[in-house]
Amino acid sequence: MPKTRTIRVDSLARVEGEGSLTLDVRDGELVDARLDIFEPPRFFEALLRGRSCEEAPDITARICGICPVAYQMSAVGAVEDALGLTVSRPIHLLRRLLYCGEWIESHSLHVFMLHAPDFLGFEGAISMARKHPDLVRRGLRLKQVGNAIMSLLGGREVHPINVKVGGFYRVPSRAELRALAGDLAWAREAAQESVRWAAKLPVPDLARNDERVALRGDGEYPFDQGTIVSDRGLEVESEQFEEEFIEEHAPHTTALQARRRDGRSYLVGPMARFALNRERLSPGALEAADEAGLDRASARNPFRSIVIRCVEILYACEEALRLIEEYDPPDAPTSKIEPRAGVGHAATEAPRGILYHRYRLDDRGIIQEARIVPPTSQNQHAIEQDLHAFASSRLELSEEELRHGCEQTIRNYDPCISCATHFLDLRVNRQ
Amino acid sequence: MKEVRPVVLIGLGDADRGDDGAGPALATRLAGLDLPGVEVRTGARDAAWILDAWARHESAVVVDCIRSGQPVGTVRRIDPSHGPLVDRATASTHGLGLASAVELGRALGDLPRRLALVGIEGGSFAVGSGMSPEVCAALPVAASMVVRILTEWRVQEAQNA
Repeated sequence: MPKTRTIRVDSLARVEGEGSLTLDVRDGELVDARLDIFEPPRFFEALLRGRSCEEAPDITARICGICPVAYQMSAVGAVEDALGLTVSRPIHLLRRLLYCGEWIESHSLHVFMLHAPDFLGFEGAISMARKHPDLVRRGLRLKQVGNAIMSLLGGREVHPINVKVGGFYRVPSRAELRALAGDLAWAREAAQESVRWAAKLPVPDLARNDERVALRGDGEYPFDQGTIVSDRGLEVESEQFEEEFIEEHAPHTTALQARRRDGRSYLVGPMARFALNRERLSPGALEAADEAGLDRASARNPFRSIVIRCVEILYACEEALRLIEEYDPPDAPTSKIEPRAGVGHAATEAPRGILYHRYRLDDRGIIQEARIVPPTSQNQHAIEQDLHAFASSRLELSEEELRHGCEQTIRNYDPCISCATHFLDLRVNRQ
Repeated sequence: MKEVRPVVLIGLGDADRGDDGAGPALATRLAGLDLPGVEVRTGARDAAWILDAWARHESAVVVDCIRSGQPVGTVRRIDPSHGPLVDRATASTHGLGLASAVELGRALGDLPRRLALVGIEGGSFAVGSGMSPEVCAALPVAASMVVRILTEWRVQEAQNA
Protein backbone atom coordinates (compact mmCIF):
# COMPACT_ATOMS: atom_id res chain seq x y z
CA MET A 1 0.00 0.00 0.00
CA PRO A 2 1.39 3.43 -0.81
CA LYS A 3 2.16 5.42 2.29
CA THR A 4 1.38 9.13 2.10
CA ARG A 5 2.31 11.56 4.80
CA THR A 6 1.16 15.15 4.68
CA ILE A 7 2.75 18.00 6.56
CA ARG A 8 0.90 21.29 6.46
CA VAL A 9 2.87 24.47 6.92
CA ASP A 10 0.66 27.39 7.80
CA SER A 11 3.35 29.84 8.77
CA LEU A 12 5.36 30.48 5.66
CA ALA A 13 4.66 34.13 5.17
CA ARG A 14 7.95 34.81 3.50
CA VAL A 15 7.24 33.84 -0.10
CA GLU A 16 4.97 35.91 -2.28
CA GLY A 17 1.83 34.20 -3.65
CA GLU A 18 -0.12 31.03 -3.00
CA GLY A 19 1.81 27.84 -3.47
CA SER A 20 2.54 24.40 -2.17
CA LEU A 21 5.32 21.90 -2.52
CA THR A 22 4.93 18.19 -3.18
CA LEU A 23 7.74 15.69 -2.87
CA ASP A 24 7.02 12.18 -4.23
CA VAL A 25 9.24 9.58 -2.59
CA ARG A 26 9.17 5.98 -3.81
CA ASP A 27 11.25 3.24 -2.17
CA GLY A 28 13.35 5.84 -0.42
CA GLU A 29 14.10 7.82 -3.57
CA LEU A 30 12.79 11.21 -4.55
CA VAL A 31 11.07 10.84 -7.89
CA ASP A 32 9.42 14.24 -8.24
CA ALA A 33 9.50 17.69 -6.66
CA ARG A 34 6.72 20.05 -7.74
CA LEU A 35 6.21 23.65 -6.73
CA ASP A 36 2.47 23.98 -7.23
CA ILE A 37 1.20 27.49 -7.71
CA PHE A 38 -2.49 28.01 -7.22
CA GLU A 39 -2.54 31.75 -7.16
CA PRO A 40 -5.50 32.60 -9.38
CA PRO A 41 -4.57 33.87 -12.84
CA ARG A 42 -4.79 37.65 -12.81
CA PHE A 43 -5.49 38.44 -16.45
CA PHE A 44 -3.37 41.58 -16.58
CA GLU A 45 -2.43 40.95 -20.19
CA ALA A 46 -6.12 40.82 -21.13
CA LEU A 47 -6.84 43.89 -18.98
CA LEU A 48 -4.35 45.88 -21.00
CA ARG A 49 -6.07 45.21 -24.32
CA GLY A 50 -8.09 48.20 -25.48
CA ARG A 51 -6.27 50.61 -23.12
CA SER A 52 -4.07 53.46 -24.21
CA CYS A 53 -0.38 52.58 -24.31
CA GLU A 54 0.17 55.51 -21.94
CA GLU A 55 -1.76 53.60 -19.26
CA ALA A 56 0.57 50.57 -19.43
CA PRO A 57 3.06 51.75 -16.76
CA ASP A 58 0.33 52.54 -14.22
CA ILE A 59 -1.73 49.39 -14.86
CA THR A 60 1.25 47.02 -14.79
CA ALA A 61 2.71 48.69 -11.68
CA ARG A 62 -0.30 47.18 -9.89
CA ILE A 63 0.88 43.64 -10.62
CA CYS A 64 3.34 43.75 -7.76
CA GLY A 65 3.65 45.85 -4.60
CA ILE A 66 7.38 45.17 -4.21
CA CYS A 67 8.66 45.58 -7.76
CA PRO A 68 6.29 48.12 -9.36
CA VAL A 69 9.24 50.06 -10.78
CA ALA A 70 10.36 47.01 -12.75
CA TYR A 71 6.88 46.75 -14.28
CA GLN A 72 6.88 50.43 -15.08
CA MET A 73 10.34 50.32 -16.62
CA SER A 74 9.58 47.32 -18.84
CA ALA A 75 6.22 48.86 -19.79
CA VAL A 76 7.61 52.25 -20.80
CA GLY A 77 10.57 50.61 -22.51
CA ALA A 78 8.34 48.39 -24.66
CA VAL A 79 5.83 51.15 -25.48
CA GLU A 80 8.62 53.57 -26.37
CA ASP A 81 10.13 50.88 -28.59
CA ALA A 82 6.78 50.52 -30.36
CA LEU A 83 6.53 54.28 -30.79
CA GLY A 84 10.11 54.60 -31.99
CA LEU A 85 10.92 56.90 -29.10
CA THR A 86 14.33 57.18 -27.48
CA VAL A 87 14.42 59.03 -24.16
CA SER A 88 17.11 61.56 -23.34
CA ARG A 89 20.16 60.51 -21.32
CA PRO A 90 19.08 62.42 -18.18
CA ILE A 91 15.75 60.55 -18.27
CA HIS A 92 17.56 57.22 -18.68
CA LEU A 93 19.77 58.10 -15.70
CA LEU A 94 16.78 59.09 -13.57
CA ARG A 95 15.16 55.76 -14.41
CA ARG A 96 18.35 54.01 -13.27
CA LEU A 97 18.18 55.96 -10.03
CA LEU A 98 14.55 54.95 -9.50
CA TYR A 99 15.53 51.34 -10.16
CA CYS A 100 18.33 51.70 -7.54
CA GLY A 101 15.61 52.63 -5.05
CA GLU A 102 13.57 49.54 -5.87
CA TRP A 103 16.57 47.19 -5.67
CA ILE A 104 17.62 48.63 -2.29
CA GLU A 105 14.07 48.35 -0.97
CA SER A 106 13.25 44.92 -2.38
CA HIS A 107 16.62 43.28 -1.64
CA SER A 108 16.72 44.72 1.91
CA LEU A 109 13.26 43.37 2.65
CA HIS A 110 14.21 39.95 1.32
CA VAL A 111 17.69 39.70 2.82
CA PHE A 112 16.88 40.92 6.33
CA MET A 113 13.19 40.21 6.85
CA LEU A 114 12.48 37.14 4.75
CA HIS A 115 15.70 35.19 4.17
CA ALA A 116 17.97 35.93 7.15
CA PRO A 117 15.64 34.09 9.59
CA ASP A 118 16.30 30.87 7.60
CA PHE A 119 20.04 31.14 8.05
CA LEU A 120 19.89 32.19 11.69
CA GLY A 121 17.22 29.68 12.73
CA PHE A 122 14.21 31.87 13.44
CA GLU A 123 10.61 31.51 12.47
CA GLY A 124 10.52 35.02 11.07
CA ALA A 125 11.77 38.56 11.32
CA ILE A 126 9.83 39.35 14.51
CA SER A 127 11.38 36.52 16.55
CA MET A 128 14.76 37.29 14.98
CA ALA A 129 14.41 40.94 16.02
CA ARG A 130 14.51 39.97 19.71
CA LYS A 131 17.95 38.33 19.33
CA HIS A 132 19.39 40.39 16.50
CA PRO A 133 17.84 43.82 16.89
CA ASP A 134 20.66 45.68 15.17
CA LEU A 135 20.43 43.46 12.11
CA VAL A 136 16.69 44.03 11.80
CA ARG A 137 17.06 47.76 12.38
CA ARG A 138 19.71 47.89 9.69
CA GLY A 139 17.40 46.10 7.25
CA LEU A 140 14.50 48.41 8.05
CA ARG A 141 16.61 51.51 7.65
CA LEU A 142 18.11 50.29 4.38
CA LYS A 143 14.62 49.63 3.12
CA GLN A 144 13.64 53.14 4.08
CA VAL A 145 16.57 54.56 2.09
CA GLY A 146 15.20 52.73 -0.96
CA ASN A 147 11.70 53.94 -0.11
CA ALA A 148 12.92 57.54 -0.06
CA ILE A 149 14.26 57.29 -3.62
CA MET A 150 11.01 55.66 -4.75
CA SER A 151 9.01 58.30 -3.00
CA LEU A 152 10.89 61.21 -4.56
CA LEU A 153 11.11 59.89 -8.11
CA GLY A 154 8.00 57.73 -8.15
CA GLY A 155 5.69 60.11 -6.31
CA ARG A 156 5.10 57.60 -3.50
CA GLU A 157 6.77 54.46 -2.06
CA VAL A 158 4.20 51.91 -3.18
CA HIS A 159 2.79 51.77 -6.69
CA PRO A 160 4.63 54.86 -7.93
CA ILE A 161 2.70 57.21 -10.18
CA ASN A 162 5.30 59.56 -11.63
CA VAL A 163 6.67 57.40 -14.45
CA LYS A 164 5.25 57.98 -17.90
CA VAL A 165 5.88 56.91 -21.45
CA GLY A 166 8.54 59.35 -22.68
CA GLY A 167 9.92 60.27 -19.25
CA PHE A 168 8.39 61.43 -15.98
CA TYR A 169 5.48 63.70 -15.07
CA ARG A 170 7.84 65.67 -12.86
CA VAL A 171 11.59 65.52 -12.49
CA PRO A 172 13.37 66.41 -9.25
CA SER A 173 15.62 69.39 -8.66
CA ARG A 174 19.31 68.92 -7.88
CA ALA A 175 18.64 69.95 -4.30
CA GLU A 176 15.91 67.37 -3.88
CA LEU A 177 18.23 64.61 -5.06
CA ARG A 178 21.17 65.82 -2.99
CA ALA A 179 18.98 65.61 0.10
CA LEU A 180 19.06 61.80 -0.35
CA ALA A 181 22.87 61.63 -0.33
CA GLY A 182 23.41 61.59 3.45
CA ASP A 183 21.21 58.55 4.03
CA LEU A 184 22.68 56.84 0.97
CA ALA A 185 26.19 57.33 2.33
CA TRP A 186 25.06 55.59 5.54
CA ALA A 187 23.40 52.88 3.44
CA ARG A 188 26.61 52.27 1.51
CA GLU A 189 28.49 51.58 4.76
CA ALA A 190 25.62 49.42 6.03
CA ALA A 191 25.61 47.46 2.78
CA GLN A 192 29.39 46.87 2.99
CA GLU A 193 28.90 45.52 6.50
CA SER A 194 26.01 43.39 5.23
CA VAL A 195 28.14 41.76 2.54
CA ARG A 196 30.68 40.78 5.21
CA TRP A 197 27.88 39.47 7.46
CA ALA A 198 26.17 37.47 4.69
CA ALA A 199 29.49 35.97 3.52
CA LYS A 200 29.91 34.29 6.93
CA LEU A 201 26.48 32.65 6.96
CA PRO A 202 26.67 28.83 6.86
CA VAL A 203 25.31 27.56 3.56
CA PRO A 204 24.40 24.05 2.42
CA ASP A 205 26.30 22.69 -0.57
CA LEU A 206 24.34 22.85 -3.78
CA ALA A 207 25.77 23.54 -7.19
CA ARG A 208 23.45 24.31 -10.07
CA ASN A 209 24.56 24.12 -13.63
CA ASP A 210 21.66 25.84 -15.37
CA GLU A 211 22.29 28.40 -18.04
CA ARG A 212 22.39 31.82 -16.41
CA VAL A 213 20.62 34.57 -18.30
CA ALA A 214 20.72 38.30 -17.62
CA LEU A 215 20.91 41.62 -19.35
CA ARG A 216 24.33 43.02 -20.08
CA GLY A 217 24.40 46.76 -19.97
CA ASP A 218 26.56 48.99 -22.07
CA GLY A 219 29.32 49.43 -19.52
CA GLU A 220 26.75 49.56 -16.71
CA TYR A 221 25.48 46.91 -14.32
CA PRO A 222 22.07 46.34 -15.89
CA PHE A 223 18.82 47.92 -14.78
CA ASP A 224 16.56 49.32 -17.45
CA GLN A 225 18.26 48.23 -20.64
CA GLY A 226 20.81 45.89 -22.15
CA THR A 227 21.38 42.90 -24.36
CA ILE A 228 20.07 39.50 -23.20
CA VAL A 229 23.13 37.31 -22.68
CA SER A 230 23.94 33.98 -21.06
CA ASP A 231 27.00 32.09 -19.86
CA ARG A 232 26.47 29.69 -22.77
CA GLY A 233 26.96 32.29 -25.47
CA LEU A 234 23.43 33.60 -25.95
CA GLU A 235 23.41 37.20 -27.09
CA VAL A 236 20.10 38.60 -28.35
CA GLU A 237 18.10 41.78 -28.16
CA SER A 238 14.79 41.94 -26.32
CA GLU A 239 12.78 41.61 -29.55
CA GLN A 240 14.22 38.10 -29.90
CA PHE A 241 13.19 37.05 -26.39
CA GLU A 242 10.26 34.95 -27.57
CA GLU A 243 12.43 33.20 -30.14
CA GLU A 244 14.73 31.97 -27.40
CA PHE A 245 12.39 31.43 -24.44
CA ILE A 246 8.96 29.81 -24.35
CA GLU A 247 6.32 29.70 -21.66
CA GLU A 248 4.23 26.58 -21.19
CA HIS A 249 1.48 25.55 -18.89
CA ALA A 250 2.19 22.68 -16.50
CA PRO A 251 -0.88 20.96 -15.03
CA HIS A 252 0.12 21.56 -11.38
CA THR A 253 0.44 25.31 -11.57
CA THR A 254 -1.61 28.32 -12.57
CA ALA A 255 1.57 30.20 -13.48
CA LEU A 256 3.24 29.65 -16.81
CA GLN A 257 6.72 28.16 -16.67
CA ALA A 258 9.37 29.45 -19.00
CA ARG A 259 12.08 27.34 -20.56
CA ARG A 260 14.64 27.64 -23.26
CA ARG A 261 13.16 26.71 -26.62
CA ASP A 262 14.88 23.29 -26.45
CA GLY A 263 13.19 22.56 -23.11
CA ARG A 264 16.08 23.34 -20.75
CA SER A 265 15.53 25.35 -17.60
CA TYR A 266 17.51 28.53 -17.04
CA LEU A 267 18.14 31.00 -14.26
CA VAL A 268 17.51 34.71 -14.04
CA GLY A 269 18.10 36.98 -11.06
CA PRO A 270 21.01 38.11 -8.89
CA MET A 271 23.23 35.04 -9.45
CA ALA A 272 22.92 35.31 -13.22
CA ARG A 273 23.31 39.08 -13.19
CA PHE A 274 26.41 38.89 -11.04
CA ALA A 275 27.98 36.10 -13.10
CA LEU A 276 27.45 38.00 -16.34
CA ASN A 277 28.17 41.54 -15.17
CA ARG A 278 30.66 41.22 -12.35
CA GLU A 279 33.18 43.56 -13.95
CA ARG A 280 30.47 46.21 -14.38
CA LEU A 281 30.02 46.59 -10.63
CA SER A 282 31.14 49.80 -8.98
CA PRO A 283 34.64 49.64 -7.44
CA GLY A 284 33.34 49.37 -3.89
CA ALA A 285 30.84 46.63 -4.74
CA LEU A 286 33.49 44.69 -6.65
CA GLU A 287 35.93 44.95 -3.77
CA ALA A 288 33.26 43.75 -1.33
CA ALA A 289 32.42 40.83 -3.63
CA ASP A 290 36.11 39.89 -3.82
CA GLU A 291 36.47 40.10 -0.05
CA ALA A 292 33.43 37.85 0.30
CA GLY A 293 35.08 35.32 -2.01
CA LEU A 294 32.40 35.70 -4.65
CA ASP A 295 33.46 34.77 -8.12
CA ARG A 296 31.53 33.50 -11.11
CA ALA A 297 31.90 29.89 -9.93
CA SER A 298 30.53 30.56 -6.46
CA ALA A 299 27.55 32.20 -8.09
CA ARG A 300 26.32 28.65 -8.76
CA ASN A 301 25.17 27.86 -5.21
CA PRO A 302 21.69 29.39 -4.83
CA PHE A 303 22.18 29.56 -1.05
CA ARG A 304 24.83 32.20 -1.66
CA SER A 305 22.35 34.42 -3.48
CA ILE A 306 21.88 36.29 -0.18
CA VAL A 307 25.50 37.47 -0.41
CA ILE A 308 25.00 38.58 -4.00
CA ARG A 309 21.84 40.49 -3.03
CA CYS A 310 23.91 42.35 -0.42
CA VAL A 311 26.54 43.15 -3.08
CA GLU A 312 23.73 44.45 -5.28
CA ILE A 313 22.39 46.61 -2.45
CA LEU A 314 25.87 48.06 -2.13
CA TYR A 315 26.07 48.58 -5.88
CA ALA A 316 22.69 50.29 -5.96
CA CYS A 317 23.79 52.67 -3.16
CA GLU A 318 27.05 53.54 -4.92
CA GLU A 319 25.30 53.94 -8.27
CA ALA A 320 22.60 56.10 -6.72
CA LEU A 321 25.25 58.36 -5.15
CA ARG A 322 27.03 58.66 -8.48
CA LEU A 323 23.81 59.45 -10.34
CA ILE A 324 22.86 62.08 -7.79
CA GLU A 325 26.30 63.68 -7.96
CA GLU A 326 26.22 63.85 -11.75
CA TYR A 327 22.56 64.79 -12.11
CA ASP A 328 21.84 67.31 -14.76
CA PRO A 329 18.10 68.01 -14.90
CA PRO A 330 16.60 67.37 -18.36
CA ASP A 331 15.28 70.28 -20.38
CA ALA A 332 11.83 68.71 -20.33
CA PRO A 333 10.48 65.99 -18.03
CA THR A 334 9.12 64.03 -20.98
CA SER A 335 9.37 63.60 -24.72
CA LYS A 336 6.38 64.25 -26.91
CA ILE A 337 4.44 61.12 -27.80
CA GLU A 338 3.20 60.49 -31.35
CA PRO A 339 0.87 57.47 -31.51
CA ARG A 340 1.62 54.98 -34.26
CA ALA A 341 0.98 51.33 -34.99
CA GLY A 342 3.77 48.98 -34.08
CA VAL A 343 5.15 46.28 -31.83
CA GLY A 344 7.56 47.07 -29.01
CA HIS A 345 9.64 44.90 -26.70
CA ALA A 346 11.63 45.57 -23.54
CA ALA A 347 13.48 43.50 -20.97
CA THR A 348 14.66 45.08 -17.73
CA GLU A 349 16.25 43.68 -14.57
CA ALA A 350 13.65 43.43 -11.81
CA PRO A 351 15.21 42.57 -8.43
CA ARG A 352 14.32 38.90 -9.12
CA GLY A 353 15.56 38.88 -12.72
CA ILE A 354 14.55 39.65 -16.26
CA LEU A 355 11.05 41.06 -16.74
CA TYR A 356 9.95 41.03 -20.37
CA HIS A 357 7.08 43.04 -21.87
CA ARG A 358 5.77 43.16 -25.44
CA TYR A 359 2.94 45.36 -26.72
CA ARG A 360 1.25 45.59 -30.10
CA LEU A 361 -0.33 48.99 -30.66
CA ASP A 362 -2.74 50.25 -33.29
CA ASP A 363 -2.33 53.61 -35.02
CA ARG A 364 -4.11 55.40 -32.14
CA GLY A 365 -1.68 53.92 -29.64
CA ILE A 366 -4.29 51.51 -28.25
CA ILE A 367 -2.91 48.21 -26.96
CA GLN A 368 -4.10 45.31 -29.11
CA GLU A 369 -2.00 42.63 -27.48
CA ALA A 370 0.25 42.45 -24.42
CA ARG A 371 2.71 39.84 -23.24
CA ILE A 372 4.41 39.87 -19.83
CA VAL A 373 6.97 37.29 -18.67
CA PRO A 374 7.98 37.84 -15.03
CA PRO A 375 11.18 36.47 -13.47
CA THR A 376 9.46 33.95 -11.19
CA SER A 377 7.89 32.06 -14.10
CA GLN A 378 11.35 31.86 -15.61
CA ASN A 379 12.88 30.54 -12.39
CA GLN A 380 10.10 28.15 -11.37
CA HIS A 381 11.54 25.18 -13.24
CA ALA A 382 14.98 25.86 -11.80
CA ILE A 383 13.45 26.10 -8.29
CA GLU A 384 11.92 22.64 -8.76
CA GLN A 385 15.26 21.27 -9.88
CA ASP A 386 16.96 22.86 -6.85
CA LEU A 387 14.33 21.28 -4.60
CA HIS A 388 14.98 17.92 -6.23
CA ALA A 389 18.73 18.27 -5.85
CA PHE A 390 18.45 19.52 -2.25
CA ALA A 391 15.82 17.04 -1.00
CA SER A 392 17.02 13.91 -2.78
CA SER A 393 20.23 13.78 -0.73
CA ARG A 394 18.44 14.70 2.52
CA LEU A 395 15.45 12.37 2.71
CA GLU A 396 16.75 11.00 6.01
CA LEU A 397 16.05 14.36 7.66
CA SER A 398 12.98 14.76 9.83
CA GLU A 399 10.07 16.20 7.93
CA GLU A 400 10.39 19.41 9.94
CA GLU A 401 14.05 19.77 8.92
CA LEU A 402 13.27 18.80 5.35
CA ARG A 403 10.45 21.31 5.13
CA HIS A 404 12.63 24.06 6.53
CA GLY A 405 15.40 23.29 4.04
CA CYS A 406 12.93 23.22 1.15
CA GLU A 407 11.43 26.56 2.17
CA GLN A 408 14.88 28.08 2.34
CA THR A 409 15.67 26.64 -1.09
CA ILE A 410 12.57 28.32 -2.50
CA ARG A 411 13.38 31.61 -0.78
CA ASN A 412 16.82 31.61 -2.43
CA TYR A 413 14.93 32.91 -5.42
CA ASP A 414 12.76 35.40 -3.55
CA PRO A 415 9.89 34.17 -5.71
CA CYS A 416 7.06 36.51 -6.30
CA ILE A 417 4.29 34.14 -7.20
CA SER A 418 1.58 36.73 -7.56
CA CYS A 419 3.96 38.60 -9.56
CA ALA A 420 1.75 37.65 -5.22
CA THR A 421 2.20 33.19 -0.25
CA HIS A 422 0.50 33.14 2.73
CA PHE A 423 1.48 29.59 3.21
CA LEU A 424 3.28 26.74 1.66
CA ASP A 425 1.83 23.26 1.95
CA LEU A 426 4.51 20.60 1.90
CA ARG A 427 3.20 17.20 0.92
CA VAL A 428 5.60 14.24 1.08
CA ASN A 429 4.18 11.20 -0.66
CA ARG A 430 6.19 8.20 0.51
CA GLN A 431 5.40 4.93 -1.26
CA MET B 1 20.79 63.58 20.91
CA LYS B 2 17.69 63.12 18.81
CA GLU B 3 14.75 65.33 19.49
CA VAL B 4 11.75 63.56 20.95
CA ARG B 5 8.48 65.11 19.85
CA PRO B 6 5.16 64.65 21.56
CA VAL B 7 2.58 63.01 19.30
CA VAL B 8 2.36 61.72 15.75
CA LEU B 9 -0.93 60.93 14.13
CA ILE B 10 -0.49 58.50 11.23
CA GLY B 11 -3.17 57.89 8.61
CA LEU B 12 -2.54 54.71 6.62
CA GLY B 13 -4.15 53.66 3.39
CA ASP B 14 -4.64 54.38 -0.26
CA ALA B 15 -6.93 57.28 -1.10
CA ASP B 16 -7.64 55.75 -4.51
CA ARG B 17 -9.01 52.48 -3.13
CA GLY B 18 -12.50 53.20 -1.81
CA ASP B 19 -12.80 52.75 1.97
CA ASP B 20 -9.03 52.27 2.23
CA GLY B 21 -8.85 56.05 1.96
CA ALA B 22 -10.33 56.39 5.49
CA GLY B 23 -6.94 56.69 7.22
CA PRO B 24 -5.53 59.48 5.03
CA ALA B 25 -8.95 61.25 4.96
CA LEU B 26 -9.15 61.29 8.75
CA ALA B 27 -5.53 62.42 9.10
CA THR B 28 -6.15 65.29 6.69
CA ARG B 29 -9.28 66.28 8.59
CA LEU B 30 -7.41 66.29 11.93
CA ALA B 31 -4.45 68.17 10.42
CA GLY B 32 -6.94 70.96 9.69
CA LEU B 33 -7.66 71.26 13.42
CA ASP B 34 -4.01 72.18 14.01
CA LEU B 35 -3.91 70.25 17.26
CA PRO B 36 -1.04 71.52 19.44
CA GLY B 37 1.98 69.24 19.59
CA VAL B 38 0.53 66.81 17.05
CA GLU B 39 2.39 66.02 13.84
CA VAL B 40 0.21 64.46 11.15
CA ARG B 41 1.54 62.02 8.55
CA THR B 42 -0.07 59.90 5.89
CA GLY B 43 1.56 56.99 4.15
CA ALA B 44 1.75 53.47 2.96
CA ARG B 45 1.03 50.38 5.00
CA ASP B 46 4.70 49.45 5.15
CA ALA B 47 6.37 48.34 8.38
CA ALA B 48 9.65 50.15 7.71
CA TRP B 49 7.81 53.37 6.93
CA ILE B 50 5.51 53.08 9.95
CA LEU B 51 8.40 52.36 12.37
CA ASP B 52 10.21 55.38 10.98
CA ALA B 53 7.10 57.55 11.17
CA TRP B 54 6.63 57.00 14.91
CA ALA B 55 10.35 56.95 15.80
CA ARG B 56 11.34 59.82 18.08
CA HIS B 57 7.75 60.37 19.21
CA GLU B 58 6.49 59.84 22.72
CA SER B 59 3.05 58.87 21.52
CA ALA B 60 1.38 57.75 18.33
CA VAL B 61 -2.13 57.24 17.08
CA VAL B 62 -2.47 55.18 13.91
CA VAL B 63 -5.68 55.35 11.95
CA ASP B 64 -6.34 52.65 9.40
CA CYS B 65 -9.14 50.95 7.56
CA ILE B 66 -9.76 47.45 8.94
CA ARG B 67 -11.76 44.36 8.12
CA SER B 68 -12.82 42.51 11.25
CA GLY B 69 -16.28 41.28 10.35
CA GLN B 70 -18.06 44.21 12.03
CA PRO B 71 -20.63 46.34 10.16
CA VAL B 72 -19.04 48.76 7.68
CA GLY B 73 -18.38 52.10 9.38
CA THR B 74 -17.78 50.60 12.84
CA VAL B 75 -14.99 52.48 14.64
CA ARG B 76 -12.80 50.55 17.06
CA ARG B 77 -9.91 51.43 19.31
CA ILE B 78 -7.29 48.71 19.47
CA ASP B 79 -4.76 48.76 22.28
CA PRO B 80 -1.60 46.91 21.20
CA SER B 81 -0.55 46.49 24.83
CA HIS B 82 -3.36 43.95 25.22
CA GLY B 83 -1.52 41.35 23.16
CA PRO B 84 0.19 40.55 19.88
CA LEU B 85 -1.40 41.66 16.64
CA VAL B 86 -1.66 39.34 13.67
CA ASP B 87 -1.85 40.32 10.03
CA ARG B 88 -4.73 38.10 8.97
CA ALA B 89 -5.59 39.51 5.61
CA THR B 90 -2.49 41.23 4.36
CA ALA B 91 -2.71 41.55 0.62
CA SER B 92 0.96 40.84 0.19
CA THR B 93 3.42 38.87 2.28
CA HIS B 94 6.18 40.89 0.74
CA GLY B 95 4.63 43.94 2.30
CA LEU B 96 4.99 43.82 6.08
CA GLY B 97 2.05 45.87 7.30
CA LEU B 98 0.81 47.60 10.46
CA ALA B 99 0.59 44.47 12.63
CA SER B 100 4.16 43.56 11.63
CA ALA B 101 5.28 47.11 12.40
CA VAL B 102 3.77 46.87 15.91
CA GLU B 103 5.27 43.44 16.57
CA LEU B 104 8.69 44.37 15.13
CA GLY B 105 8.56 47.57 17.20
CA ARG B 106 7.67 45.53 20.30
CA ALA B 107 10.52 43.05 19.68
CA LEU B 108 13.01 45.86 19.05
CA GLY B 109 11.82 48.02 21.93
CA ASP B 110 10.95 50.67 19.38
CA LEU B 111 7.30 51.28 20.17
CA PRO B 112 6.22 54.75 21.23
CA ARG B 113 5.53 54.97 24.95
CA ARG B 114 1.83 55.31 24.17
CA LEU B 115 0.32 53.80 21.06
CA ALA B 116 -3.30 53.59 20.04
CA LEU B 117 -4.74 52.14 16.85
CA VAL B 118 -8.06 53.39 15.57
CA GLY B 119 -9.71 51.13 13.01
CA ILE B 120 -12.56 52.03 10.71
CA GLU B 121 -14.33 49.00 9.29
CA GLY B 122 -14.29 49.14 5.49
CA GLY B 123 -16.31 47.25 2.93
CA SER B 124 -15.51 48.49 -0.56
CA PHE B 125 -12.02 48.80 -1.98
CA ALA B 126 -12.62 49.31 -5.69
CA VAL B 127 -10.11 51.56 -7.46
CA GLY B 128 -11.38 55.14 -7.76
CA SER B 129 -14.73 54.38 -6.16
CA GLY B 130 -14.46 56.86 -3.26
CA MET B 131 -15.40 55.96 0.30
CA SER B 132 -18.75 54.33 1.09
CA PRO B 133 -21.41 56.48 2.82
CA GLU B 134 -21.00 54.36 5.98
CA VAL B 135 -17.26 55.10 6.15
CA CYS B 136 -17.78 58.79 5.37
CA ALA B 137 -20.29 58.93 8.23
CA ALA B 138 -17.78 57.18 10.52
CA LEU B 139 -15.05 59.79 10.00
CA PRO B 140 -16.42 62.30 12.58
CA VAL B 141 -16.86 59.44 15.05
CA ALA B 142 -13.27 58.36 14.51
CA ALA B 143 -12.07 61.98 14.74
CA SER B 144 -13.79 62.34 18.11
CA MET B 145 -12.19 59.11 19.27
CA VAL B 146 -8.71 60.36 18.29
CA VAL B 147 -9.29 63.68 20.07
CA ARG B 148 -10.53 61.76 23.14
CA ILE B 149 -7.38 59.59 23.13
CA LEU B 150 -5.14 62.65 22.87
CA THR B 151 -7.03 64.35 25.70
CA GLU B 152 -6.81 61.23 27.83
CA TRP B 153 -3.03 61.16 27.32
CA ARG B 154 -2.69 64.87 28.16
CA VAL B 155 -4.63 64.33 31.37
CA GLN B 156 -2.43 61.38 32.29
CA GLU B 157 0.63 63.46 31.50
CA ALA B 158 -0.60 66.30 33.71
CA GLN B 159 -1.37 63.90 36.53
CA ASN B 160 2.09 62.37 36.28
CA ALA B 161 3.82 65.77 36.11
